[in-house]
Amino acid sequence: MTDEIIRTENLKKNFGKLEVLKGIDLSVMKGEVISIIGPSGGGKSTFLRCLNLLEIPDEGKIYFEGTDIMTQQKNISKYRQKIGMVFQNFNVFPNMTVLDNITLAPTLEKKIAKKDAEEEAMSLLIRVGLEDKAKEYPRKLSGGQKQRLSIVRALAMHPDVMLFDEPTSALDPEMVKEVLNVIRDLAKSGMTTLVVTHEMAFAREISDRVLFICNGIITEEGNPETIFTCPQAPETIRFLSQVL
Amino acid sequence: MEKIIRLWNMYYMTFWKGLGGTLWLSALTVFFGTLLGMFVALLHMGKSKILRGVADIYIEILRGTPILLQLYFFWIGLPKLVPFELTDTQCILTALIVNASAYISEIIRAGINAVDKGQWEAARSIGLTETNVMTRVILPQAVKNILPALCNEFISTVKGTSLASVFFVGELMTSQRTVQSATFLALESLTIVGIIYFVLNFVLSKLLVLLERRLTISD
Repeated sequence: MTDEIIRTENLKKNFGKLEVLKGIDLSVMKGEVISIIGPSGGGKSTFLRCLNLLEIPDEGKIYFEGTDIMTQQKNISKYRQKIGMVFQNFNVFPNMTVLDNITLAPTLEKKIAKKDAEEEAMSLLIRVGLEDKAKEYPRKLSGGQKQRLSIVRALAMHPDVMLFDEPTSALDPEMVKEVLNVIRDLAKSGMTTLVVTHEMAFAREISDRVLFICNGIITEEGNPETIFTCPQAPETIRFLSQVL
Repeated sequence: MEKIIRLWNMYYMTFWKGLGGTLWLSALTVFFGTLLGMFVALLHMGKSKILRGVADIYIEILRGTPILLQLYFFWIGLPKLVPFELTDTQCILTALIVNASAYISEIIRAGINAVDKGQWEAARSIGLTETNVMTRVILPQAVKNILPALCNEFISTVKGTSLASVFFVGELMTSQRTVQSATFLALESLTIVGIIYFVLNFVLSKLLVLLERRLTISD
Protein backbone atom coordinates (compact mmCIF):
# COMPACT_ATOMS: atom_id res chain seq x y z
CA MET A 1 0.00 0.00 0.00
CA THR A 2 1.24 3.51 -0.79
CA ASP A 3 1.56 6.14 1.93
CA GLU A 4 -1.38 8.10 3.17
CA ILE A 5 -0.89 11.87 2.90
CA ILE A 6 -4.22 13.34 4.04
CA ARG A 7 -6.91 11.84 6.20
CA THR A 8 -10.07 13.49 7.45
CA GLU A 9 -12.25 12.04 10.17
CA ASN A 10 -15.85 13.05 10.72
CA LEU A 11 -15.29 16.55 9.34
CA LYS A 12 -18.17 18.90 10.11
CA LYS A 13 -18.69 22.54 9.24
CA ASN A 14 -21.64 24.84 9.84
CA PHE A 15 -22.28 28.31 8.48
CA GLY A 16 -24.63 29.62 11.12
CA LYS A 17 -27.49 27.16 11.24
CA LEU A 18 -26.69 25.64 7.87
CA GLU A 19 -24.81 22.36 8.12
CA VAL A 20 -22.53 22.38 5.10
CA LEU A 21 -20.40 19.37 5.98
CA LYS A 22 -22.03 16.63 8.00
CA GLY A 23 -19.12 14.33 8.68
CA ILE A 24 -16.66 13.56 5.91
CA ASP A 25 -14.15 10.73 6.18
CA LEU A 26 -11.54 10.52 3.49
CA SER A 27 -8.11 9.06 3.10
CA VAL A 28 -5.89 10.33 0.29
CA MET A 29 -2.83 8.38 -0.80
CA LYS A 30 0.36 9.94 -2.08
CA GLY A 31 0.15 10.45 -5.83
CA GLU A 32 -3.57 9.88 -5.97
CA VAL A 33 -5.76 11.99 -8.24
CA ILE A 34 -9.22 12.55 -6.83
CA SER A 35 -12.09 14.41 -8.46
CA ILE A 36 -14.89 15.74 -6.34
CA ILE A 37 -18.20 16.20 -8.11
CA GLY A 38 -21.72 16.95 -6.99
CA PRO A 39 -24.45 19.56 -7.06
CA SER A 40 -23.78 23.21 -6.17
CA GLY A 41 -24.06 23.96 -2.48
CA GLY A 42 -23.36 20.36 -1.58
CA GLY A 43 -20.16 21.17 0.32
CA LYS A 44 -17.47 20.26 -2.24
CA SER A 45 -15.62 23.58 -2.10
CA THR A 46 -16.05 23.92 1.65
CA PHE A 47 -14.50 20.49 2.10
CA LEU A 48 -11.53 21.41 -0.06
CA ARG A 49 -11.10 24.70 1.79
CA CYS A 50 -11.09 22.88 5.11
CA LEU A 51 -8.07 20.84 4.05
CA ASN A 52 -5.73 23.86 4.32
CA LEU A 53 -7.83 25.49 7.05
CA LEU A 54 -9.07 28.38 4.95
CA GLU A 55 -12.26 27.28 6.66
CA ILE A 56 -11.91 26.02 10.21
CA PRO A 57 -14.03 22.90 10.66
CA ASP A 58 -16.36 22.84 13.65
CA GLU A 59 -15.72 19.19 14.39
CA GLY A 60 -13.53 16.35 13.25
CA LYS A 61 -9.87 15.89 12.50
CA ILE A 62 -7.58 16.56 9.54
CA TYR A 63 -4.28 14.70 9.38
CA PHE A 64 -1.56 15.84 7.03
CA GLU A 65 1.27 13.32 6.84
CA GLY A 66 0.16 12.00 10.20
CA THR A 67 -0.06 15.35 12.02
CA ASP A 68 -3.40 16.65 13.21
CA ILE A 69 -3.28 20.13 11.68
CA MET A 70 -6.30 21.31 13.66
CA THR A 71 -3.94 21.44 16.65
CA GLN A 72 -1.33 23.30 14.57
CA GLN A 73 -3.28 26.46 13.80
CA LYS A 74 -0.40 28.62 15.02
CA ASN A 75 1.95 27.04 12.48
CA ILE A 76 -0.63 26.63 9.80
CA SER A 77 1.38 28.59 7.23
CA LYS A 78 4.04 25.83 7.32
CA TYR A 79 1.42 23.27 6.32
CA ARG A 80 -0.17 25.51 3.75
CA GLN A 81 3.21 25.71 2.03
CA LYS A 82 2.90 21.99 1.37
CA ILE A 83 -0.67 22.25 0.13
CA GLY A 84 -1.03 24.32 -3.02
CA MET A 85 -4.42 25.74 -3.87
CA VAL A 86 -5.95 27.10 -7.05
CA PHE A 87 -9.17 29.11 -6.90
CA GLN A 88 -12.08 29.62 -9.20
CA ASN A 89 -11.38 33.35 -9.45
CA PHE A 90 -7.61 32.97 -9.91
CA ASN A 91 -6.82 35.44 -7.12
CA VAL A 92 -3.51 36.44 -8.63
CA PHE A 93 -1.98 39.49 -6.97
CA PRO A 94 -2.86 42.41 -9.26
CA ASN A 95 -0.24 44.77 -7.85
CA MET A 96 2.71 42.51 -8.69
CA THR A 97 4.24 41.39 -11.95
CA VAL A 98 3.77 37.80 -13.03
CA LEU A 99 7.28 37.00 -11.83
CA ASP A 100 6.76 38.65 -8.44
CA ASN A 101 3.51 36.75 -7.97
CA ILE A 102 5.50 33.54 -8.19
CA THR A 103 8.59 34.51 -6.22
CA LEU A 104 6.78 36.22 -3.32
CA ALA A 105 6.23 33.18 -1.12
CA PRO A 106 9.50 31.34 -1.86
CA THR A 107 11.60 34.41 -1.08
CA LEU A 108 9.60 35.40 2.02
CA GLU A 109 8.86 32.09 3.63
CA LYS A 110 11.60 29.81 2.35
CA LYS A 111 14.27 32.51 2.29
CA ILE A 112 15.30 31.52 -1.20
CA ALA A 113 17.54 34.09 -2.89
CA LYS A 114 15.58 36.33 -5.24
CA LYS A 115 17.74 35.32 -8.18
CA ASP A 116 17.27 31.59 -7.65
CA ALA A 117 13.55 32.04 -7.10
CA GLU A 118 13.27 33.98 -10.35
CA GLU A 119 15.21 31.35 -12.24
CA GLU A 120 12.86 28.68 -11.00
CA ALA A 121 9.83 30.84 -11.69
CA MET A 122 11.00 31.24 -15.28
CA SER A 123 11.34 27.51 -15.78
CA LEU A 124 7.83 27.04 -14.35
CA LEU A 125 6.51 29.74 -16.66
CA ILE A 126 8.09 27.99 -19.62
CA ARG A 127 6.35 24.80 -18.55
CA VAL A 128 2.93 26.49 -18.83
CA GLY A 129 3.83 28.65 -21.83
CA LEU A 130 3.82 32.04 -20.08
CA GLU A 131 7.53 32.87 -20.26
CA ASP A 132 6.97 35.99 -22.38
CA LYS A 133 4.57 37.41 -19.76
CA ALA A 134 7.04 37.38 -16.86
CA LYS A 135 7.33 41.18 -16.61
CA GLU A 136 3.65 41.92 -17.25
CA TYR A 137 1.06 42.81 -14.66
CA PRO A 138 -1.85 40.35 -14.37
CA ARG A 139 -4.35 42.85 -15.81
CA LYS A 140 -2.82 42.14 -19.21
CA LEU A 141 -3.43 38.39 -18.95
CA SER A 142 -6.48 36.49 -20.14
CA GLY A 143 -8.46 34.36 -17.69
CA GLY A 144 -6.74 31.20 -18.81
CA GLN A 145 -3.34 32.82 -18.46
CA LYS A 146 -4.20 34.09 -14.99
CA GLN A 147 -5.23 30.63 -13.95
CA ARG A 148 -2.03 29.09 -15.30
CA LEU A 149 -0.13 31.76 -13.36
CA SER A 150 -1.98 30.87 -10.17
CA ILE A 151 -1.09 27.21 -10.66
CA VAL A 152 2.57 28.10 -11.14
CA ARG A 153 2.46 30.36 -8.09
CA ALA A 154 1.34 27.40 -6.01
CA LEU A 155 3.89 25.04 -7.59
CA ALA A 156 6.75 27.40 -6.76
CA MET A 157 6.41 26.33 -3.12
CA HIS A 158 6.95 22.67 -4.09
CA PRO A 159 3.73 21.46 -2.53
CA ASP A 160 3.04 17.80 -1.83
CA VAL A 161 -0.64 18.20 -2.64
CA MET A 162 -2.52 20.43 -5.05
CA LEU A 163 -6.12 21.47 -4.43
CA PHE A 164 -8.13 22.82 -7.34
CA ASP A 165 -11.40 24.55 -6.49
CA GLU A 166 -13.41 24.68 -9.73
CA PRO A 167 -10.37 25.90 -11.64
CA THR A 168 -12.18 26.35 -14.96
CA SER A 169 -15.62 27.56 -13.82
CA ALA A 170 -14.84 31.24 -14.32
CA LEU A 171 -13.17 30.77 -17.70
CA ASP A 172 -14.45 31.43 -21.19
CA PRO A 173 -14.98 28.09 -22.96
CA GLU A 174 -12.01 28.48 -25.30
CA MET A 175 -9.65 28.85 -22.34
CA VAL A 176 -10.78 25.81 -20.41
CA LYS A 177 -8.60 23.47 -22.37
CA GLU A 178 -5.29 25.24 -21.77
CA VAL A 179 -5.88 25.12 -18.02
CA LEU A 180 -7.06 21.53 -17.99
CA ASN A 181 -3.94 20.54 -19.95
CA VAL A 182 -1.73 21.98 -17.23
CA ILE A 183 -3.67 20.17 -14.51
CA ARG A 184 -3.57 16.93 -16.49
CA ASP A 185 0.22 17.12 -16.92
CA LEU A 186 0.59 17.81 -13.23
CA ALA A 187 -1.61 14.90 -12.23
CA LYS A 188 0.25 12.58 -14.59
CA SER A 189 3.57 13.67 -13.14
CA GLY A 190 2.54 12.08 -9.84
CA MET A 191 1.31 15.12 -7.93
CA THR A 192 -1.31 14.28 -5.34
CA THR A 193 -4.31 16.16 -6.68
CA LEU A 194 -7.82 16.96 -5.48
CA VAL A 195 -10.05 18.70 -8.01
CA VAL A 196 -13.53 20.05 -7.44
CA THR A 197 -14.88 20.26 -10.95
CA HIS A 198 -17.91 20.37 -13.19
CA GLU A 199 -15.90 19.05 -16.14
CA MET A 200 -17.19 15.50 -16.04
CA ALA A 201 -15.22 14.22 -19.01
CA PHE A 202 -12.05 15.59 -17.46
CA ALA A 203 -12.82 14.06 -14.08
CA ARG A 204 -13.46 10.74 -15.72
CA GLU A 205 -10.23 10.90 -17.67
CA ILE A 206 -7.68 11.93 -15.03
CA SER A 207 -9.01 10.56 -11.75
CA ASP A 208 -7.98 7.49 -9.83
CA ARG A 209 -11.05 8.01 -7.70
CA VAL A 210 -14.20 10.10 -7.90
CA LEU A 211 -16.08 11.39 -4.86
CA PHE A 212 -19.69 12.43 -5.11
CA ILE A 213 -20.47 14.95 -2.37
CA CYS A 214 -24.07 15.93 -1.82
CA ASN A 215 -25.77 17.55 1.20
CA GLY A 216 -22.52 17.55 3.15
CA ILE A 217 -21.64 13.88 2.92
CA ILE A 218 -19.83 11.61 0.48
CA THR A 219 -22.78 9.74 -0.93
CA GLU A 220 -20.74 7.68 -3.32
CA GLU A 221 -17.12 7.08 -4.24
CA GLY A 222 -15.24 4.78 -6.52
CA ASN A 223 -13.22 4.54 -9.68
CA PRO A 224 -14.40 6.86 -12.45
CA GLU A 225 -15.67 4.11 -14.74
CA THR A 226 -18.03 2.72 -12.13
CA ILE A 227 -19.29 6.12 -11.00
CA PHE A 228 -19.93 7.40 -14.49
CA THR A 229 -21.29 4.20 -16.08
CA CYS A 230 -23.26 2.57 -13.30
CA PRO A 231 -23.75 4.93 -10.36
CA GLN A 232 -25.47 3.37 -7.35
CA ALA A 233 -26.72 6.17 -5.10
CA PRO A 234 -29.95 7.83 -6.27
CA GLU A 235 -28.40 11.30 -5.80
CA THR A 236 -25.55 10.42 -8.14
CA ILE A 237 -27.89 8.97 -10.73
CA ARG A 238 -30.05 12.09 -10.68
CA PHE A 239 -27.05 14.44 -10.83
CA LEU A 240 -25.32 12.64 -13.66
CA SER A 241 -28.48 12.38 -15.70
CA GLN A 242 -28.76 16.17 -15.46
CA VAL A 243 -25.19 17.06 -16.39
CA LEU A 244 -24.17 14.41 -18.91
CA MET B 1 -6.25 95.59 -1.02
CA GLU B 2 -3.68 98.21 -0.19
CA LYS B 3 -4.24 97.60 3.50
CA ILE B 4 -3.71 93.91 3.03
CA ILE B 5 -0.37 94.43 1.33
CA ARG B 6 0.70 96.87 3.98
CA LEU B 7 -0.35 94.46 6.69
CA TRP B 8 1.57 91.66 5.03
CA ASN B 9 4.68 93.80 4.71
CA MET B 10 4.51 94.70 8.37
CA TYR B 11 3.64 91.33 9.83
CA TYR B 12 4.82 88.75 7.34
CA MET B 13 7.21 87.31 9.91
CA THR B 14 4.29 86.63 12.25
CA PHE B 15 2.34 84.92 9.48
CA TRP B 16 5.37 82.88 8.40
CA LYS B 17 5.87 81.75 11.96
CA GLY B 18 2.19 80.84 12.15
CA LEU B 19 2.45 78.87 8.94
CA GLY B 20 5.46 77.05 10.37
CA GLY B 21 3.41 76.18 13.45
CA THR B 22 0.51 74.95 11.34
CA LEU B 23 2.78 72.79 9.17
CA TRP B 24 4.50 71.36 12.18
CA LEU B 25 1.26 70.62 14.03
CA SER B 26 -0.30 69.09 10.90
CA ALA B 27 2.70 66.94 10.07
CA LEU B 28 2.90 65.53 13.58
CA THR B 29 -0.87 65.00 13.72
CA VAL B 30 -0.95 63.26 10.36
CA PHE B 31 2.07 61.09 11.12
CA PHE B 32 1.14 59.97 14.61
CA GLY B 33 -2.57 60.00 13.80
CA THR B 34 -1.91 57.55 10.98
CA LEU B 35 0.24 55.31 13.19
CA LEU B 36 -2.32 55.32 15.98
CA GLY B 37 -5.13 54.96 13.43
CA MET B 38 -3.47 51.91 11.93
CA PHE B 39 -3.17 50.38 15.37
CA VAL B 40 -6.83 51.09 16.16
CA ALA B 41 -7.89 49.68 12.78
CA LEU B 42 -5.97 46.47 13.48
CA LEU B 43 -7.65 46.16 16.88
CA HIS B 44 -10.99 46.83 15.25
CA MET B 45 -10.45 44.00 12.77
CA GLY B 46 -8.71 41.63 15.19
CA LYS B 47 -9.87 38.34 16.61
CA SER B 48 -10.47 39.49 20.19
CA LYS B 49 -14.07 40.56 20.76
CA ILE B 50 -13.12 42.71 23.75
CA LEU B 51 -10.45 44.66 21.86
CA ARG B 52 -12.83 45.06 18.94
CA GLY B 53 -15.39 46.55 21.32
CA VAL B 54 -12.80 48.90 22.86
CA ALA B 55 -11.77 50.13 19.40
CA ASP B 56 -15.39 50.60 18.46
CA ILE B 57 -16.18 52.70 21.53
CA TYR B 58 -12.99 54.76 21.01
CA ILE B 59 -13.97 55.56 17.43
CA GLU B 60 -17.61 56.27 18.17
CA ILE B 61 -16.84 58.67 21.04
CA LEU B 62 -14.25 60.60 19.04
CA ARG B 63 -16.49 60.85 16.01
CA GLY B 64 -19.57 61.64 18.03
CA THR B 65 -18.26 64.62 19.98
CA PRO B 66 -17.06 68.01 18.67
CA ILE B 67 -13.34 68.39 18.18
CA LEU B 68 -13.35 71.69 20.10
CA LEU B 69 -14.79 69.86 23.09
CA GLN B 70 -12.07 67.23 22.79
CA LEU B 71 -9.39 69.91 22.69
CA TYR B 72 -10.75 71.47 25.89
CA PHE B 73 -11.01 68.07 27.46
CA PHE B 74 -7.38 67.20 26.79
CA TRP B 75 -6.19 70.69 27.59
CA ILE B 76 -7.73 70.56 31.06
CA GLY B 77 -7.74 66.82 31.70
CA LEU B 78 -4.44 65.54 30.35
CA PRO B 79 -2.17 67.49 32.71
CA LYS B 80 -4.13 66.00 35.63
CA LEU B 81 -3.70 62.48 34.32
CA VAL B 82 0.04 62.42 33.75
CA PRO B 83 2.66 62.80 36.50
CA PHE B 84 4.87 65.16 34.46
CA GLU B 85 4.48 68.74 33.22
CA LEU B 86 2.79 69.30 29.87
CA THR B 87 2.74 72.44 27.77
CA ASP B 88 -0.52 73.61 26.17
CA THR B 89 0.93 72.70 22.78
CA GLN B 90 1.58 69.14 23.88
CA CYS B 91 -1.96 68.75 25.22
CA ILE B 92 -3.52 70.15 22.05
CA LEU B 93 -1.26 68.10 19.82
CA THR B 94 -2.24 64.94 21.68
CA ALA B 95 -5.91 65.79 21.27
CA LEU B 96 -5.47 66.43 17.54
CA ILE B 97 -3.64 63.13 17.10
CA VAL B 98 -6.25 61.17 19.02
CA ASN B 99 -9.05 62.81 17.07
CA ALA B 100 -7.41 62.19 13.70
CA SER B 101 -6.64 58.56 14.61
CA ALA B 102 -10.35 57.77 14.92
CA TYR B 103 -11.13 59.00 11.43
CA ILE B 104 -7.98 57.53 9.91
CA SER B 105 -8.59 54.13 11.48
CA GLU B 106 -12.00 53.98 9.83
CA ILE B 107 -10.49 54.97 6.48
CA ILE B 108 -7.85 52.26 6.82
CA ARG B 109 -10.38 49.66 7.87
CA ALA B 110 -12.64 50.44 4.94
CA GLY B 111 -9.67 50.32 2.57
CA ILE B 112 -8.56 46.93 3.87
CA ASN B 113 -12.08 45.53 3.75
CA ALA B 114 -12.39 46.64 0.15
CA VAL B 115 -9.57 44.31 -0.89
CA ASP B 116 -11.06 41.19 -2.42
CA LYS B 117 -11.45 38.33 0.05
CA GLY B 118 -9.82 36.03 -2.50
CA GLN B 119 -6.55 37.91 -2.06
CA TRP B 120 -6.42 36.93 1.61
CA GLU B 121 -7.16 33.34 0.76
CA ALA B 122 -4.61 33.15 -2.03
CA ALA B 123 -1.94 34.75 0.13
CA ARG B 124 -2.68 32.33 2.96
CA SER B 125 -2.87 29.34 0.65
CA ILE B 126 0.71 29.80 -0.57
CA GLY B 127 1.83 29.64 3.03
CA LEU B 128 2.46 33.28 3.95
CA THR B 129 2.35 34.10 7.65
CA GLU B 130 -0.47 36.39 8.75
CA THR B 131 1.97 39.31 9.05
CA ASN B 132 3.23 38.82 5.51
CA VAL B 133 -0.30 38.37 4.19
CA MET B 134 -1.12 41.76 5.64
CA THR B 135 2.06 43.69 4.85
CA ARG B 136 2.97 42.18 1.48
CA VAL B 137 -0.36 41.45 -0.16
CA ILE B 138 -3.28 43.26 1.49
CA LEU B 139 -1.87 46.62 2.61
CA PRO B 140 -0.19 47.49 -0.72
CA GLN B 141 -3.55 46.98 -2.41
CA ALA B 142 -5.47 48.73 0.36
CA VAL B 143 -3.29 51.84 0.08
CA LYS B 144 -4.89 52.59 -3.29
CA ASN B 145 -8.35 52.44 -1.74
CA ILE B 146 -7.22 54.42 1.28
CA LEU B 147 -5.29 57.23 -0.36
CA PRO B 148 -8.07 59.44 -1.73
CA ALA B 149 -9.97 59.41 1.56
CA LEU B 150 -6.77 59.86 3.52
CA CYS B 151 -5.94 62.85 1.36
CA ASN B 152 -9.21 64.49 2.38
CA GLU B 153 -8.47 63.65 5.98
CA PHE B 154 -5.02 65.27 5.76
CA ILE B 155 -6.57 68.44 4.42
CA SER B 156 -9.17 68.57 7.14
CA THR B 157 -6.40 67.96 9.65
CA VAL B 158 -4.56 71.02 8.37
CA LYS B 159 -7.74 73.05 8.73
CA GLY B 160 -8.50 71.45 12.07
CA THR B 161 -5.25 72.70 13.56
CA SER B 162 -6.71 76.22 13.37
CA LEU B 163 -8.79 75.33 16.41
CA ALA B 164 -5.58 75.33 18.41
CA SER B 165 -5.74 79.12 18.25
CA VAL B 166 -8.43 78.96 20.92
CA PHE B 167 -5.63 77.91 23.26
CA PHE B 168 -3.05 80.30 21.79
CA VAL B 169 -0.94 77.45 20.52
CA GLY B 170 1.44 78.85 17.91
CA GLU B 171 -0.06 78.35 14.47
CA LEU B 172 -1.53 80.33 11.59
CA MET B 173 -4.88 81.22 13.13
CA THR B 174 -3.20 82.29 16.34
CA SER B 175 -0.92 84.61 14.41
CA GLN B 176 -4.01 86.10 12.80
CA ARG B 177 -5.43 86.79 16.25
CA THR B 178 -2.15 88.37 17.28
CA VAL B 179 -2.06 90.64 14.25
CA GLN B 180 -5.71 91.52 14.61
CA SER B 181 -5.37 92.57 18.22
CA ALA B 182 -2.34 94.67 17.37
CA THR B 183 -3.85 96.41 14.34
CA PHE B 184 -7.65 95.99 14.59
CA LEU B 185 -7.59 94.93 10.93
CA ALA B 186 -9.74 91.80 11.22
CA LEU B 187 -10.92 91.26 7.63
CA GLU B 188 -7.52 92.01 6.17
CA SER B 189 -5.62 89.61 8.40
CA LEU B 190 -8.29 86.96 7.89
CA THR B 191 -7.89 87.33 4.14
CA ILE B 192 -4.15 86.82 4.34
CA VAL B 193 -4.48 83.76 6.53
CA GLY B 194 -7.26 82.41 4.32
CA ILE B 195 -5.07 82.70 1.24
CA ILE B 196 -2.22 80.93 2.99
CA TYR B 197 -4.51 78.06 4.08
CA PHE B 198 -5.95 77.77 0.60
CA VAL B 199 -2.58 77.69 -1.15
CA LEU B 200 -1.25 75.19 1.36
CA ASN B 201 -4.16 72.80 0.91
CA PHE B 202 -4.26 73.27 -2.84
CA VAL B 203 -0.61 72.29 -3.14
CA LEU B 204 -1.12 69.42 -0.74
CA SER B 205 -4.07 68.02 -2.66
CA LYS B 206 -2.21 68.26 -5.98
CA LEU B 207 0.79 66.47 -4.48
CA LEU B 208 -1.43 63.69 -3.19
CA VAL B 209 -3.09 63.29 -6.59
CA LEU B 210 0.38 62.82 -8.11
CA LEU B 211 1.27 60.23 -5.48
CA GLU B 212 -2.02 58.45 -6.10
CA ARG B 213 -1.32 58.26 -9.81
CA ARG B 214 2.08 56.70 -9.21
CA LEU B 215 0.62 54.07 -6.95
CA THR B 216 -2.13 53.03 -9.34
CA ILE B 217 0.37 52.41 -12.14
CA SER B 218 -0.28 48.65 -12.07
CA ASP B 219 -3.90 49.05 -13.17
